[in-house]
Amino acid sequence: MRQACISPTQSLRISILLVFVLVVTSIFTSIPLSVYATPSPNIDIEAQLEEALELYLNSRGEAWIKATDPNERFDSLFSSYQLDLLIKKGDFNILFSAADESFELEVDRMRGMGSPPLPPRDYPFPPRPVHQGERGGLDGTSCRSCHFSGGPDGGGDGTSVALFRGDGEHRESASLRDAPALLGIGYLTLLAQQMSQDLQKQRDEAIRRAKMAKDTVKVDLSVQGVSFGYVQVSPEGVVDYSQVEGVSQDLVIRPLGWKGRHHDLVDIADESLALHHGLQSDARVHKYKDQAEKYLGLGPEWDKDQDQVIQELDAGHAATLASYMALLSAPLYTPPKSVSAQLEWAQGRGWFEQIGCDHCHRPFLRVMPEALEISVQGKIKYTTQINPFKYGQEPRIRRVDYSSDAQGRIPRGAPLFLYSDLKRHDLGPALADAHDEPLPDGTVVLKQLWLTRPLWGLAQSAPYLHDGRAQTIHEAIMLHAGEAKSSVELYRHLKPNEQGLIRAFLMSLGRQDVLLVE
Amino acid sequence: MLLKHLLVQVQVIFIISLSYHLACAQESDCPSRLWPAQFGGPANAIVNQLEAEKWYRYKQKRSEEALLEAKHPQQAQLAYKLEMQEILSGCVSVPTLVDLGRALFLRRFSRTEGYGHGLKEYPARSRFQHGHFGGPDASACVDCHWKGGFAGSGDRVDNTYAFGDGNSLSLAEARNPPALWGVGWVQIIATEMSAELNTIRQQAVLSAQTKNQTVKMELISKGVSFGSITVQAQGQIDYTELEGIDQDLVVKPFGWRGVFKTLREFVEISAQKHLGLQSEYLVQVGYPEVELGTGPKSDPDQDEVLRELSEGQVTALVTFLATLDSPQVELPTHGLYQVPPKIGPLEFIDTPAFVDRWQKGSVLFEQIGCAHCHQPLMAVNSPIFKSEWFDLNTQSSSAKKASFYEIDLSQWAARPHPEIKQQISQEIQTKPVKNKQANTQKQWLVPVFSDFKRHRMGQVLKGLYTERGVSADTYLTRRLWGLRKTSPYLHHGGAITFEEAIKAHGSEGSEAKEASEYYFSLNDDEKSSIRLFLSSLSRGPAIRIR
Repeated sequence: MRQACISPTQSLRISILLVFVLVVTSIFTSIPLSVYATPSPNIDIEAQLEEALELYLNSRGEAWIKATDPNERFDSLFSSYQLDLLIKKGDFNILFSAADESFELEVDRMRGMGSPPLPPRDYPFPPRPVHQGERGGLDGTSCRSCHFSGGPDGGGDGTSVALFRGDGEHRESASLRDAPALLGIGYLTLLAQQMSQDLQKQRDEAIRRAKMAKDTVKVDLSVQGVSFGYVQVSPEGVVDYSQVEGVSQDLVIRPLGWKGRHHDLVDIADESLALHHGLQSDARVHKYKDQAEKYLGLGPEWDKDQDQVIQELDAGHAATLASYMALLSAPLYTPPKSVSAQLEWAQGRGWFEQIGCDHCHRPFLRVMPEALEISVQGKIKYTTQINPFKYGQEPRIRRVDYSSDAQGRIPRGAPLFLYSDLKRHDLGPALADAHDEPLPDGTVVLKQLWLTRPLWGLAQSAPYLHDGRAQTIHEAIMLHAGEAKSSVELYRHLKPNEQGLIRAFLMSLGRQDVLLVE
Repeated sequence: MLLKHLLVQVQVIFIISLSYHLACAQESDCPSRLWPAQFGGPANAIVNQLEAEKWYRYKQKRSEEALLEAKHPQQAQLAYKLEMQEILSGCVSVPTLVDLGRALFLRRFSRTEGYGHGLKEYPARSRFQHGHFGGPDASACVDCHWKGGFAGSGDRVDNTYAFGDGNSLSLAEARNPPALWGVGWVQIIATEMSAELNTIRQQAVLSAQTKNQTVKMELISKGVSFGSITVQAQGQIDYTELEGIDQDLVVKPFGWRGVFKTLREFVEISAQKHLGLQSEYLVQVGYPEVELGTGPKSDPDQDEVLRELSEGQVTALVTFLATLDSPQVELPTHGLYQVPPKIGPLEFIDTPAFVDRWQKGSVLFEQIGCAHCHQPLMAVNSPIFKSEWFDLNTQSSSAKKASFYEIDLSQWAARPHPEIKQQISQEIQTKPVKNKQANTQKQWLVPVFSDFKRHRMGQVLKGLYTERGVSADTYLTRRLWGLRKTSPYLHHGGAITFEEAIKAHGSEGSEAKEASEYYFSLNDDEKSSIRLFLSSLSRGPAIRIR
């Protein structure tokens, strides 16, 4: 190599000459230099920078105002009247950005954080990581503390693990839950609603048929190819739910939570605020007024959690947060750039299906574009409608395929690439929780059952599994057992190269890059 | 059309020749090796188009790297290894070393690289630490150090619950992760202070010897008094008047109680306690109050991985941390004016009212006594950061001699970093001096807001256990720079507002009781000025792409 080289000074002169030529030519022609460079980025840096900088200056100004006057409670959570006004005018962007601010707002004593035993006002409040039953504990200072891995509204990282339903003192008494990613949650809720309605229609049809036929009827429950077991209906109309699998007996699919705990955005917003920050909303007080000691506290009706703050959250607040979640953007595929990597990516997807991962982590389910109803039941009921397909943040879910299925029909609905069947499965004793999980409606989910976690947005939400125990995708796959045993065995027997292809494919389930100024 | 074709060919030739030129011009014999995604050196905390593009390119490279690692994990893991020999041979430039440090800081180490442990008596991961063994309780350094910007502090949820039994909250001490900005300068300050104090002690001993009588010397360094020592003529030293420092007269600036002397010690102990990664030095030599596990001597955590962190990797991490930017003061000159809440447009206007208040707050900060411990500026005489490392390949395990890897922070630290102030020395010269430069002494002023001294903080802030001999109610003055970004405050993250933190300073037995009571006796206007001043202690806005 050395002998064939020209001397450094000579080569320097030549390259300077060529640079000159290049610059001159590129001025007079319009051949972009980027012909040989990497493809153009998928974010507009300048616009995002301006936007992010303005948000930063905004929050900094507010911090200064707040420092000088702490009585300034920045109510970026709207009352129900303001929310109605915004929705009527169609100002969804204002709604979203205001609620986005409250997502990062730090909750303090003046806002109503915490529940007894409380330290005196103005004194520090030592953290309570182990939750006290259904009264919760004191976790992060804002929603963003835990939901940010990979970007805002993302999942949790290794330390964002909440210790639910414990005894307030011992780690071993609690159930560990890593914060799940929130992107696309509006579409997910809508999908679950539509699937539940389908299942309930099938059951009602079965009852009707049983009554008409005056005979026991067995009907398979299945939606979009996902089987939920079967029901048997007696001629009197009594339904036997014992063979229903993967869903609760009320046939409501609950996509929110690691074991499928909630199906309503308002419920989860209320519960999260109560358990993680000690903020009690009117709706929660109304819902659990018969079980006040367990869920709310022993205070008077206007201050059940006895923290001397009244009206911590009202109907409008809960609805604003639920609307915010409904409007969140969806995760994307972030495929590799070079052609050879793209071909490997396709192979990885092929292996994913061949070893049977897609049996539970189904690549897509279809959702009909419609508005999501958000209703808050406090003393008075407040209802509103939010349509994420029309007003959701970009990237939005759109109907893009018109291919027909095996019967030649064009299926309805927009495909949602969530990689889940929204069903609960047994994943074996090693991954089992320490305790069964009691749901708010009184039913219990057994400890080894887990809702198939949607894999969209996976790439940015390490570490994986319900308590973040898996550092890498490989570790997460190897920890699956129970119903997933056969697929894991097949994965284990693949060549390292092929295993790598599957992992590389999973790493393409990402989200859009976001530029932050902080 | 032909012209365009020709020009395209010219461009091709140019690129080929340029790469040839670059390849030929290399003189050194450094072996080629894989590196993790490169940012290009220390990342400045500056917001402009250029920095945004740099970050964006870095993010693209990291995404590609993640893809590559998913496909070929073993190969990707090689990129993260580094030996001290490679650094010493001059093949690793400072930007590359900093980039590797940043990559290690962000990395979620897999269990095959040594994350965690294989011991049966502890669970694989525990939110609560077991005694002095640790968790692990996090999955990467950035898990806990993210708030307010990259390598920042942690939220209340990122607390670690240490020294307990791994299960009970009331037996554990909560520790909130502090921000890591500017730690390189902090170590330099501490080293200089320790050297000055030791010099004073040596002078006292010498003076006692020569005068043959008991000598009492005040220990003062950089304007901070550490009490005094009394030296007998025979050489015995009486330390009972010593304040806020250990008897070895070494200022230990890291840790809430001020127990870690160097960044390196902090990095290695954290890697073990929070990630289960045992560095070479830790395994072979060890640190006090760190348990390694019951396995064999070469692999105490029994995860069948040896040399989980090498000296080179530790040096990379330390260099990255040392070159982080330093927090500055953000004067409230241009702020936000808010017309009815959120529905109307917002305006940014000049805010002389805030500036005025800030000035008042700054004066009050000193007047009520906060500045006595939270000293605004500390001067540094030399910006050379020395990272020590040990040659652990030698057979003898006794008294390993430290070598130093030096880096000039005034050149390499990310901007903004402390400014230079030139001081003309006051000495009277007998002869006319040829070189005017010889009289000037450069000093860097670091706005740390701390006196690097330990203080008793009273009942409310009292912990449960002593840490390396430091009693449970004693803490090192926390550096207030970057304050606005690092809420919640105090060692357990229990104070969300400034007032809660100030109130906690005012309990029984606290050295800050008077200052705290003085604060609460002020009127609302004055209190809000001080709060605005505290709120201006921030870290310059920086870009992050997620």
